[in-house]
Amino acid sequence: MIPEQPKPLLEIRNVARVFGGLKALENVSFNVPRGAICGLIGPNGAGKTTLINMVSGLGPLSEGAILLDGQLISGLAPHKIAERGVGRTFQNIRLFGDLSVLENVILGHHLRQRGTLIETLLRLPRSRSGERDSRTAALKLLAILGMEHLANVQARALSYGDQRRVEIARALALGPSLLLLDEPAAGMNSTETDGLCEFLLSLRESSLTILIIEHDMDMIMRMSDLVVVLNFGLKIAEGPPDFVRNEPHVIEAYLGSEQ
Amino acid sequence: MSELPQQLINGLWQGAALALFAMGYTLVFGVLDIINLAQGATFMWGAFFAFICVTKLNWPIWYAIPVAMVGAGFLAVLLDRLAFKPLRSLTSGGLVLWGGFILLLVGMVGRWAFPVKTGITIAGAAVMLAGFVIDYRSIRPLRIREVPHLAPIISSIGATFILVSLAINEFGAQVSRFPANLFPVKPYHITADAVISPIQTLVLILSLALMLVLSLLINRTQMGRAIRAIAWSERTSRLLGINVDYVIAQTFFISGALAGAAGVLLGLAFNRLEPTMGGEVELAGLTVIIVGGMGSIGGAAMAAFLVGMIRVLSVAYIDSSFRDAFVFALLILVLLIRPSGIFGRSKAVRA
Amino acid sequence: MLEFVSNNISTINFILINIALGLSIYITLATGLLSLSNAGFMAIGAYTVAIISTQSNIPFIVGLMAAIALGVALALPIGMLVLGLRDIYLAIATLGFGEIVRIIALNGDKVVHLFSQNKELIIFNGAEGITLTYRTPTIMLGLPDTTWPILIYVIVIVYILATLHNSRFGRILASIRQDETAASTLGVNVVHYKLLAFVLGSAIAAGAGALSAPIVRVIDPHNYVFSRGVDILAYAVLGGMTHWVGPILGATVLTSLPEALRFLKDQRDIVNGLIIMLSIIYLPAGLADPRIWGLFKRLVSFPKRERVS
Repeated sequence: MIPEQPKPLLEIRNVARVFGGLKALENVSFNVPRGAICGLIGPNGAGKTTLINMVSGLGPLSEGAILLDGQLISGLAPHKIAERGVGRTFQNIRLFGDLSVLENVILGHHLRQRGTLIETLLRLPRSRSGERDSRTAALKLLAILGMEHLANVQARALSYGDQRRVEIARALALGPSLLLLDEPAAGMNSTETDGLCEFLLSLRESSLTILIIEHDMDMIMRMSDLVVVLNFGLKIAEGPPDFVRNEPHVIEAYLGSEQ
Repeated sequence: MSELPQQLINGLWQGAALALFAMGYTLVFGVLDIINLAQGATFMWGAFFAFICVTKLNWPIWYAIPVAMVGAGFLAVLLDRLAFKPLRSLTSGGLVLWGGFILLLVGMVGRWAFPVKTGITIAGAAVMLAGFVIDYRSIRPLRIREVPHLAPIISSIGATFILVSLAINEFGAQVSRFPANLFPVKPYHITADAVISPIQTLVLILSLALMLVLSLLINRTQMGRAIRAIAWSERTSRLLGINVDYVIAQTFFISGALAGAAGVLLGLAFNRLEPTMGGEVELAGLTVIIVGGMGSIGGAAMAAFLVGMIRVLSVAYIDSSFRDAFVFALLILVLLIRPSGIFGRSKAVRA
Repeated sequence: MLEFVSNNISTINFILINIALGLSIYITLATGLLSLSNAGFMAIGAYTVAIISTQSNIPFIVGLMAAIALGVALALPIGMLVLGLRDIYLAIATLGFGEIVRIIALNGDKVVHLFSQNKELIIFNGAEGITLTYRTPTIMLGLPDTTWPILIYVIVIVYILATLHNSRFGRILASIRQDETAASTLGVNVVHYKLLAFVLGSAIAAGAGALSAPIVRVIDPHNYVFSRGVDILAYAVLGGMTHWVGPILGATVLTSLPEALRFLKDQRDIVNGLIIMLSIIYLPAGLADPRIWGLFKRLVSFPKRERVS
């Protein structure tokens, strides 16, 4: 608990996940304050992705609870959690390859799009204006990311780094209060990574809360307000980057592993 | 109710043959995670292979059964190369194989004069053989592909249609029968009212024996270990130096041979061969593998006896025209209540 | 032109019916669902119209509406039950539904006799099926009055599917086809939209069945066996499963080809099987593949360029 933050946006309470007999996560608790960037780090297999999947509703919890803005979200279906304002990206990019970049981003916006099935079929004004608004919003997001020129390209034809950025744009189109990023810089070169960092920091200005998994320690230490370290499913440290960096458990966990 | 022991015996031997069919199904599913809907057509061709041996070549039935199994086994391998392998990776050999196959079909169904027909057919078979060899020897495919997950099912539906139509072309749509005197007809009495005929006894014994052989093959041999390894992870198996392609071919061979055996045995027992006979057993077989738990060989065997009993009992006590309705009711009930199967371990079936 | 139409009116009717059927399976395939119940829903539509017109004097259009309504009413609960199942299981469960429809049509009268006093009453007429009385169609504006409803029906369906395709509904269905997990994390209620596609497809198939009844005239269970379902699947697979133009092309080619090439007619199942296999293997995006159209355009424009240079 961090006393100076009265009501955290995301609360992870005593969460555990058991696969068969194997404990992937055990009694993990931490809070992410509103407007913070929280880095989630740890060696491979520490349970980071499992945790993010649980927050977005893709995996059931064996024990514990997850709260968003004081309300229980664990146990809800993924689309319900998305409606509450949780957007995410995936470690292995999951764009809709057949669709264009623009269509991918518009899909993120669809919850805010008006017009029922009947209105759409009759091409009534509300559905048409809804479509127009979504298109404008999506183009604006792409413009911010400097990808306007790629709007009509098929998503599968993009480079790796561009795909990652489109996936982030798609999650942002949802208008989330919490953004979950699973290794967003993987496969990017250092220029691209710097650009991404800058972009994410600019998002924080607009009071978005970010939970980010990343192996690039530089990036995590530079951006995060708070770092949580997992190892073998247990939380071994939590605190500001400088504190975590010097924590003996963390150094041991990392030196013991491949890094 | 004095009929009951007799019906139970009927359910038992029919269930045993059904188990053979379903085990082949589930074996391929376990290894490749695909449903080979053409298994029913392989079953039917197995029966007709034996039919050719007995009626055209005048071989004794004891030779015809193994010949039918081997024939159906190779047919299943061929099916893999035509219908499924091109979906995993495109090779130039695969293209040649397909070219030969189309030539073969043209030769078989076309209304050509005698030497032309045979010539085209043989040329098609030769091109296919060449394609097979090129495909097998090629190290690097033209393209490793990712296809829609529906593709293998759709492809095997197409294959079924071709195989069934070919059989109609060769043998006609009507019922064909084995010569009547292949087996003694005097039944063995088990109780006063319940009898089992020699052919039914053969079906039961041979089916049980083949099930035993399969279980030894899977659990005790190097080949079985390789099959299980691929079922667990194809990628890891490749890294461990297992010749995945070869093992997949072996799996299809076994699966086809089992279907062929079931085809001959049921064909003999009912003495009724039809090109569409695969469709009926297909449905029962699908029910069996779902009730037994997909990929579970033991589960399939148990479920086969259950389904066999249901079929026999619904015909005996209710109405023969509702037989398939009961099998389907069981299928849908299991899908809805316990989709991992009654006898199987849980596996993700719900999206 | 008019002469060509009147000489081939039966082929044209069947092309239109098959386009509607192809579109009915397309909408589910475009959502990533392999539902094999279309032939069953077609049977439901055809039997509804046939029974209504043999047992009463209710006009055809009401029968058509009833058929579509019945399709929706059955598809909703069935969809809710089976749409949670993974691909293979869904295919098998819907295949089962089609078979059950057939078995009911075959034995319907036995069931009717259980509940009715009148043991002579024949409604389904078992394997013989229902024969509708022949009525010479009147020609309206160059087309028989049996063809007009089918043509209008196809136009309405194409309008609906094309509008959906370009709207957020079409995008959402495509996203479910490609990655339903990712779609769900964007707030897409996957089951809800799968149900929409399934009900829409079933209703289209039921309507097509109803419209086919006056043309085939003999409605018997054998018309709606699994192989009919495979014909329908072939239209969508050959044409392409990602754009509504696909099944239109597929149904047109596969229905007119056997008419044009007589020898293909006897081997229809082999040709269907080959087309299904070859297109799923070597032409996964179907005839409506944008790359094929690009190639076509280049080939067509090639001579022009020569003339310029």
